[in-house]
Amino acid sequence: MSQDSIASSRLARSAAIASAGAKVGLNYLKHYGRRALTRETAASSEEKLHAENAADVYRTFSELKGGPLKVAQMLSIDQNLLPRAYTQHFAQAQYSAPPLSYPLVVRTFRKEFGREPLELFDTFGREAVAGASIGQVHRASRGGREFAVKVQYPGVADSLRNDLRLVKPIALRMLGLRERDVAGYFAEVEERLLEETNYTLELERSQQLSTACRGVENVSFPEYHPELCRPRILTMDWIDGEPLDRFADGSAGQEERDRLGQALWDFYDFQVHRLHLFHADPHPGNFLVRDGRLWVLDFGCTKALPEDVYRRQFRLLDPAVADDPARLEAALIDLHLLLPDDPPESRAELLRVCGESIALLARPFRTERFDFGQEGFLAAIFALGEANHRNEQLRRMRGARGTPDSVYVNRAYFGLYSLLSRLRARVRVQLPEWLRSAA
Amino acid sequence: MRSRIVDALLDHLRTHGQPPESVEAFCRAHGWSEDDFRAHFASLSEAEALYWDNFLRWVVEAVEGGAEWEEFNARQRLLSLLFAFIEAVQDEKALVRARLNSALHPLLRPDYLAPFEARFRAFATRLAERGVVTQEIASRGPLNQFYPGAFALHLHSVLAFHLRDDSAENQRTDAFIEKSTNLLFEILREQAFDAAFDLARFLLVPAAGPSEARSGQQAPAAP
Repeated sequence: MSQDSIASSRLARSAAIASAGAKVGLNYLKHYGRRALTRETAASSEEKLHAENAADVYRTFSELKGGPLKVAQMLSIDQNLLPRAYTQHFAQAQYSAPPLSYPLVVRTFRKEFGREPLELFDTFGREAVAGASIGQVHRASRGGREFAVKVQYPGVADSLRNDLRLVKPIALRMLGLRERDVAGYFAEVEERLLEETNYTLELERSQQLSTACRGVENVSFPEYHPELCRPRILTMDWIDGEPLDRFADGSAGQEERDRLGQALWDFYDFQVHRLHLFHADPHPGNFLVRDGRLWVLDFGCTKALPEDVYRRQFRLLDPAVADDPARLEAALIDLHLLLPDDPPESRAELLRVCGESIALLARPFRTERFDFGQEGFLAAIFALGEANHRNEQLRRMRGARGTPDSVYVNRAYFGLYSLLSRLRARVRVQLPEWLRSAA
Repeated sequence: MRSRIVDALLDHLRTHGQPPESVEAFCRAHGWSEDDFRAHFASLSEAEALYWDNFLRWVVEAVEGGAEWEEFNARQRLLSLLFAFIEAVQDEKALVRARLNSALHPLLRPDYLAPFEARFRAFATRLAERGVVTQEIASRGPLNQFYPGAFALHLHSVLAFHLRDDSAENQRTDAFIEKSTNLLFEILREQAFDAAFDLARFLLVPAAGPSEARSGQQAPAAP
């Protein structure tokens, strides 16, 4: 294959994206047409418009697989970056690399171990049992022990990097975002995504976190097997269990829901507030329920918070800060949510919005026992995000706001709240220790 | 003596990138008589042909002797062969670049690659038969004879890609083999192959009508 033909396949991708752009344009036309014809209220028509656009954009991105789908996912991580219709569509996007053929799996083993799968294992499934985000999982066994073996697609880091470079500007233009305003955000997400291709780091983090979290009640981890791991192959124990979302939607009793919810909460609480290093991908597929315990799989996406960043971020949980406008303002300036040259009226509006958001998001921390099953908590979070999105004054404010480090904190807590709501769990909550003494 | 001749020839090819000027020069350089040489090979080409034929034979035998070969479908068999082939190329990149890659072009076909090509065609024929059995490839009657040619072209594209690939551990070659094989089987299975053949026939077979008309128009202009 020549460079020319590689370039032309890139061109074909751009063309496919452009066609989604055209469809978005068409949907806008329909939107205005619909408003004119049916006197629909602006708001509901706009909602339909977003939903239609999101579906088109999503379809295009998922046809392209690879990087573009990753960009879609990147954008959906921050609930406030895009209208809700987009986030919902993109959240479905479980990025999946094309499947590896069995001969390629064998080839990867030969390169990494100098041996074939059946020389290392007694049995090795030729078909993958599941797609991992950048590779796939095979089931294997040896000496009566079952393993899950993750194999990575060749060159995935490079193609991810290329795809992101190609797609980012187009996606930004299509979605009306300013490169400058979201550059730090993109850099952060890109770094995490590329980390996911590093199985050596994943092994290290998996062992580190599962050892550190051993004391967390009702939480278990599969054992990892370094002697069967290489930069593109990762081997851990095979765990049979019920995926957390299926468990949540099933017939489990309240007591069991509370126990698992508590385990999930304690797991995150310990990681974020004690280790400042956490599993940043609270996707239901990464948790299994077995024998009443929560099993945590897949540490591909982890985030480490420097101590000062951690303090700045979680100071907002302190009631003494959140309830005192002057201290809140100082804390928000620290977090670059307020910028020094914001005009006074924008500053007031931002303060109001941030105060409202913090009050809502910190609500669980203000009680000893929080019922995530209560009507409306999650809906209120969504509604607030949506209202902020429609807020014209906020939209007009430009500049890179917030710290990129917050992206995955928000993602982890948003994912955690969603999972707990789905579980309808009642959870005992405590402020982090350093804030307890302060309060 | 046979293997000493081949080894000496390969040494020469590795160093110079092309064969000695003549059998005579080659023999003189090694202190052999031309008769010694002729007792084993009729020409330098024939000696080199033995090497390339063996090169492919080892690869084919290695993959066909694999524990899981019998259970593999055609796609898996082709992938196994290509991965093994590239692995074998690894040790002889310079030689492959000089003597195999450029010569695999369908229009060149030098003598020294004839046995290599024949062996690959035999493999490709078995592969196509397997594909028809497993329904991965449509059986198209007399057109089936084009399949080995398609596989040979594919092999050449893989080799050409690999020789330019400077990615870590040749990961891009692996991805190329994977993706291009998938595409090839899509083409052989779907209508695309039939449409491509139809187009090729249309372009290659001279159409009687228009060319006659053209010569008719030209006639008055010619005095």
